[in-house]
Amino acid sequence: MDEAAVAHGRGKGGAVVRFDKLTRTFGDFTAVDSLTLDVGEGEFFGFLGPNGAGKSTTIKMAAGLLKPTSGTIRIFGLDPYRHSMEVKAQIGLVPEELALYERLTGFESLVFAGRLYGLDAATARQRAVDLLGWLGLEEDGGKLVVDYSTGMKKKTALGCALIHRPRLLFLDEPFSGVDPLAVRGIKEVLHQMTREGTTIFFSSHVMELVERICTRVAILHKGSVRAVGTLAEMRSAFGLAEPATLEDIFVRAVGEPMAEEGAPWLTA
Amino acid sequence: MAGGRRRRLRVLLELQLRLQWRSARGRGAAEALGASVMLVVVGLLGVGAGFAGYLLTEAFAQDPAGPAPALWIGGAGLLALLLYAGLFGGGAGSGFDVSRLFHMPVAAGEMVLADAAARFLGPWSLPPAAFFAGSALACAWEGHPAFAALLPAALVLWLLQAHLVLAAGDLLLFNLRRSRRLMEAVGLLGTGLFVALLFFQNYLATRLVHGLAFGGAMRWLTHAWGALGPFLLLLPGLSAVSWVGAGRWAPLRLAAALAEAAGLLALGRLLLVRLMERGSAEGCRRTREGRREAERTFARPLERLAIWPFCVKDFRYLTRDPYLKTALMGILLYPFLWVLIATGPGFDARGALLHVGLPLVLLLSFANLSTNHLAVEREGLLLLIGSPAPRWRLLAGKNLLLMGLYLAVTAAVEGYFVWRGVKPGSAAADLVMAFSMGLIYFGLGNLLSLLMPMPVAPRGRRLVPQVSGAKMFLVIFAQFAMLGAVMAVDLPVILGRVAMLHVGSPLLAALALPAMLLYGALIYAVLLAAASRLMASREPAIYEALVRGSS
Repeated sequence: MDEAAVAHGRGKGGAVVRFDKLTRTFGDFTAVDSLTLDVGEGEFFGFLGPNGAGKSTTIKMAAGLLKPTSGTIRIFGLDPYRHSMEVKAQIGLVPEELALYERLTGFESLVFAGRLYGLDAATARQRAVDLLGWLGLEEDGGKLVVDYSTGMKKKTALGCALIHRPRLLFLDEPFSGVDPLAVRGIKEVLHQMTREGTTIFFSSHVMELVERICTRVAILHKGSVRAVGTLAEMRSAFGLAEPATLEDIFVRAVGEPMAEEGAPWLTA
Repeated sequence: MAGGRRRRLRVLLELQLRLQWRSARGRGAAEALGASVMLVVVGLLGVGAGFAGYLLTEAFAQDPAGPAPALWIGGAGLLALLLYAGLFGGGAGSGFDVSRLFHMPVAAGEMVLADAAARFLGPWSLPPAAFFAGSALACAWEGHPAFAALLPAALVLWLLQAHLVLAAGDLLLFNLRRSRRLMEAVGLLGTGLFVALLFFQNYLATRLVHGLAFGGAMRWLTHAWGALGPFLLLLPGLSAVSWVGAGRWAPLRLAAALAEAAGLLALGRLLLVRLMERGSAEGCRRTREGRREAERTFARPLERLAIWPFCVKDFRYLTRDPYLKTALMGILLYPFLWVLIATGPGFDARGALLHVGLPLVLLLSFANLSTNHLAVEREGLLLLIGSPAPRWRLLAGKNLLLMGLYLAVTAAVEGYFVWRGVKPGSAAADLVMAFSMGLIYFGLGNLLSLLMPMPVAPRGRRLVPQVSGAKMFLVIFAQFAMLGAVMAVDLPVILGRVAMLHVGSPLLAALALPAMLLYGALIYAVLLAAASRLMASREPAIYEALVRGSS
């Protein structure tokens, strides 16, 4: 975890994202259970959890796409349902299931996203060209998205989320399938954005990545927060010493490693 | 080895049957009940259509001035299929992507056989089976038990041919995936061929039933042609009637049908082997820079319009997405069917049905695109509803594109009628009425899309609803209610048009036509405002219904 960045860890201003006893159920299943969490301005906030922990559901609720069963959400102090348009205008979202029109080209996708967010045609086109270059897609901007690799689709989705220069970015597994070189470049730009006040809410399974780039982390399990804080704070909370990694903390917090005895014939 | 093959065939068959029947089976008791009710309704409709079709054939065969009997039968079959396709969503293209099995130890011939067998036993066989049963009943009722006994065999043959055609067609399209342009060209060519076949076979069948004399060679050709009836797919009644009337030509027909089935099976296997050898990856295509620049030059003045980006996006999608393109081809096919019906024997081309019926029939063909349009967005929906764009722009952009398409198709049919002798002024008035009806239909369609969104998923070459039979029943009911509402709200416009037809005064036309336009525009504005507000409040529910929140 970037300890230098932790200095302004909880953000420069007030809470940009605030969840208070946020709960979401699907029938009998509780996906998010009384989640309370604050994320400050300029934070690179990591949101960790095993499969089915409720990470994507939380992000969708924060982005105003799913309504909570109970509890409140405030994004920049606004309710994302009552002030849907104001909130959506200030956020960018890269969802896990990529929100891309596969039969548009990469260039057309970016321009369309720009127009959706209110940019005029010329600005949207110029930014699309810039983003394609930055994401290393300038050679492929004329291809249909359906012909892209997973990594190229991720990059395009990221471009769509960034084209209107959002103040808050929700990233749900944004780097899966993206090549290491591109990850490195994107990480640098995202860091630069946080330094200029953009808040990044970063959901991932990849512990090493989260440990390296996030200023603060929350570990979610079965819909509720098991741990939250900087790496040092969480080590202290779980009674772990200095070399302990985020993965050690995660295992301690979630505490359910895969059963080795489940399929003995695999290792027989 | 033989045991292994049998086991693999059984597993493949089970898999395909499960995939084909799953949407009909539903999950809960209410859904299962709804699906069962719809099965019975479709079955009874099919039997009724077959029975009535046969009797009508008998009746009108005595009256050369009456409507073409084959059209009655075809129309009844179409109606049953329309209801049915909406119900199960599967319809003609219900095969699944066989490339998922390429890494498994399954032979190409086994895949084709299992695919054809599953289609044969799948839900799509129900309406034609019911239709044939109805025809057989009527045949026995009229005192032709021998012919009635022939019909089950005709049914089996027809289904076998139809499903093999579908299987081979799907495989052909998969084969062409490497070259998208070629696939598109073949798709368009196929549509044209379908229309030509429809005209040709309908012409021959009409002549045949009307008992006109043909020379021996022509009669032979007619029967050989009739044996290939499943190419027309939507007209099971034609096949039944021509089998009953085949007489001594029946053995020839049987031989032709069996040869066709065997040929299709071999073709399917060959196509699949080629596909496995080449892989199924879609080829990459680059949008040509020159074309994009030309588009920009043309579109630049229009880019100032707030709804333009949405309209352009939908247009690109409609012309590129293979599933939406299937819907587009259906729309483009409608005018030809309409012209066919309207110019059949005994049909008064200037009748009221022509004036009021044409827009309604055309609008029906837009049902998928206009009454469930958020679901059609599929993976892009999240981008759309996650954006702060004013909702009226999203909706109006969609409506504008569909309206353009609808008016173009209507104008094409009206142009044909003008060529056939209808006065240009009358055709123009029809266009104005159609425009007004379209405004109200698309305006109401926005509301239905927001109130009853149905998730869709690609199956075969189509986008099919992923809801229970019970929900589908409600949606079909809502769509019919909506059509009734369009008629009711548009009553002043329809009455205005009828008055113009009867009075024929230029002054009335000069007053009525602008009034029609204004009325339609006002109603549309009110509906659009209501839909825009509704969308803003219902987005989370719509997202949940269409995408389902998952963690």
